[in-house]
Amino acid sequence: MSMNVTELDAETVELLPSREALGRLKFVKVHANVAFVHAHNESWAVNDYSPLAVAQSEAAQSVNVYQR
Amino acid sequence: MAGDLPTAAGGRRPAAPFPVPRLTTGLRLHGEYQGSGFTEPRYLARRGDGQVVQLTLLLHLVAGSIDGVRDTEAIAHRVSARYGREVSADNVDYLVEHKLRPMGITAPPGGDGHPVGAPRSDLLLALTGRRVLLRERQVVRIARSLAWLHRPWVVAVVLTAAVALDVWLFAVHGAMGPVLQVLDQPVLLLAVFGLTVASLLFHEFGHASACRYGGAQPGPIGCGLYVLWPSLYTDVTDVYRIGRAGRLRTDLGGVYFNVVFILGLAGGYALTGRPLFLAAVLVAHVEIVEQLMPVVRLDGYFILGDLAGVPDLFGRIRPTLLSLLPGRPVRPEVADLKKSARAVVTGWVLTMVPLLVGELGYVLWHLPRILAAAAHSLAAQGADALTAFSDGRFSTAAVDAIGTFTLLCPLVGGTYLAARTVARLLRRILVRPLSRWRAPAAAHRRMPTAPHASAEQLPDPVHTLRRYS
Repeated sequence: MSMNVTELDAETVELLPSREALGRLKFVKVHANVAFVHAHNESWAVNDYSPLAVAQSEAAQSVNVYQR
Repeated sequence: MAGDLPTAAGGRRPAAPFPVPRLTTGLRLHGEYQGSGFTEPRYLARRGDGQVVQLTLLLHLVAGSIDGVRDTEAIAHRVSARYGREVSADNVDYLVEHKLRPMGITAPPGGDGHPVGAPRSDLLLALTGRRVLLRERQVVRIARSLAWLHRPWVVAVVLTAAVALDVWLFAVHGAMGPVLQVLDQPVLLLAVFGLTVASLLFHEFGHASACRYGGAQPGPIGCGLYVLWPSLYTDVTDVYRIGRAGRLRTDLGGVYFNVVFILGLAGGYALTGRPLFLAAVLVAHVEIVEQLMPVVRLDGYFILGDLAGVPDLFGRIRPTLLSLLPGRPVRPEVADLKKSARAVVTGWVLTMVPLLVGELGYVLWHLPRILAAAAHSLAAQGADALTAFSDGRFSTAAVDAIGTFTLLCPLVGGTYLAARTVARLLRRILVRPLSRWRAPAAAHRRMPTAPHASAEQLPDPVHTLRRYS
C-alpha cells in the first residue's frame, strides 16, 4: 500500500543558512583615567623618659583630588 | 496505471504519460548530514544558487532518482526498493510538486532548468552591505598554502608556544604596561589598529584553510556590516557536507590563526622590543574571547551548533520556547532532536534569550541618553579630527577619524536593524491574513494534481515547508 497524504506531508525540506565565518572588527577601548591626588598625613606622639613604652597619637589626614 | 482510458466517443485514447521531473540546474546532492543531532538522518543538497537545503530520507531518495530520463513511475519503483516501502508514482508526483519544486530542487515543467521563485534563507541577523575582497579562486590558493598549519603536530607546537607566551606576558612581564605606553601616541595607536585589522584578515584565512584541510571548498572572503559591527567574512557553506570534526576545525580555525598571529607579534616584539606588538597581543586575546562567545553568529555559535549536530540554532529558538510552555505539545522541530542535542539547544535558548532580551531592553530603556551621548561624542570627535587635520597632525586626525567611524557603525547598524525588524513585523501582520484569504483558491488549483487528497487535506506549501530564519 502506497503512502497517504499525511505521511507525505511529514516529509520536510528545510533551508539552511549560509555559513559565513565572521570576524568582527570591534574596537577595544582602553581608557587611562588620570587623577592628581594630594595626600597629607600628620601624627605626633610624645614618649619622654620611658624607654620600651608604646605611645599612641591620633593622625590628622587630608586627601585632595583634582580632576582636569 | 498507464493503460488506455475510454473516451466520450466510445473509443480509447492513450493515457497521459507519467511526467518526467528534472532537477534544477547546478543542484548537487551531498548525502547524509554527518554528526547529526537529529533522531532520523538528514540529507543535504545544494542548489545552483548556493542555497543549502536539508531533506528527509524519502525526499533525498526521490531527488537522487531524478535524472531527467526516468518518469515518476520508474522513480517510484527505484525509491520503493531503497526506501523499503511502496511509494507510488502519485506519491512521487506529490512530493515533487509540493516539496521539491517549491524549494527549487526540481525545475518547473517547460522551464529552462533554473528554479523559479525558490525561497532563500532570510536571516534577520545577517551580514549587510557585503563586498567581496578576495574571490573564491584567490581564497582557495591562500587556503591551500596555509593548510599545513592544521596538521596535528603543528597545532600542538603552536598551542604549547602560546601557553608559554601567555604565562610570560600575564604572570611575568605584565600586559597593561605596553598598552599604556601606546595610548598616548597616535602613531602607535594607528599601528596597533593596522595590526588588529591584519589579525582579523588572518583569522579569516584560518577558517578558509581549515575548511580546505577538511576537504571542503571555501568561498570568497569579503566585508560587510554585521548587526552593529564592521566585519570580515569567509563563505564556508560547503562544510555542511563534511564530517563533524571537519566542521569543528573550520569553526576553530579562525581563533587558531589568531593564536598563530599572536606568536608572530611576539616574534616582532622579540626582534624590535617595541611595546606596540605586546599591545596588539592583548587586543588579539580580547578578540579570541569575544569570538568564542556563542552569541549572534560568531565562531562560538557555530562551535556549539556543530557539537550539538544542529545546523541552525537560531531556527530552534521559537519551537524550543513554545515547547517549554506548560500544556503545549513538544514541537516537531524539537521532538526531532536527540536527547543530548535537545539539552544543548534548550540550555542555549534559556541562556541566550534572556541575555539578548535584557540587552535589548537596556538599550531601549536608555536609548535617549545613548543617542544624546553618541551625538555629542560624534560632534566632538569629528571636530577634533578636523582640528588635527588642519594643524597637520595627521596621525591624530586618523585616530579621531577611526573613532568617529566606530561611533557611526553602531548607529547605522542599529537603525538598519530596527527598520528591518519593523518591516518584518508589518509583513507578519499584513501579509499573513492576505495569504490565508488566498489559500482556498490556491488549493482548488492544485486539486487535479493530487487525486487522493480533498481540498482540506491538501497542504499549503507555505505552511508545510519549514523555513527557519
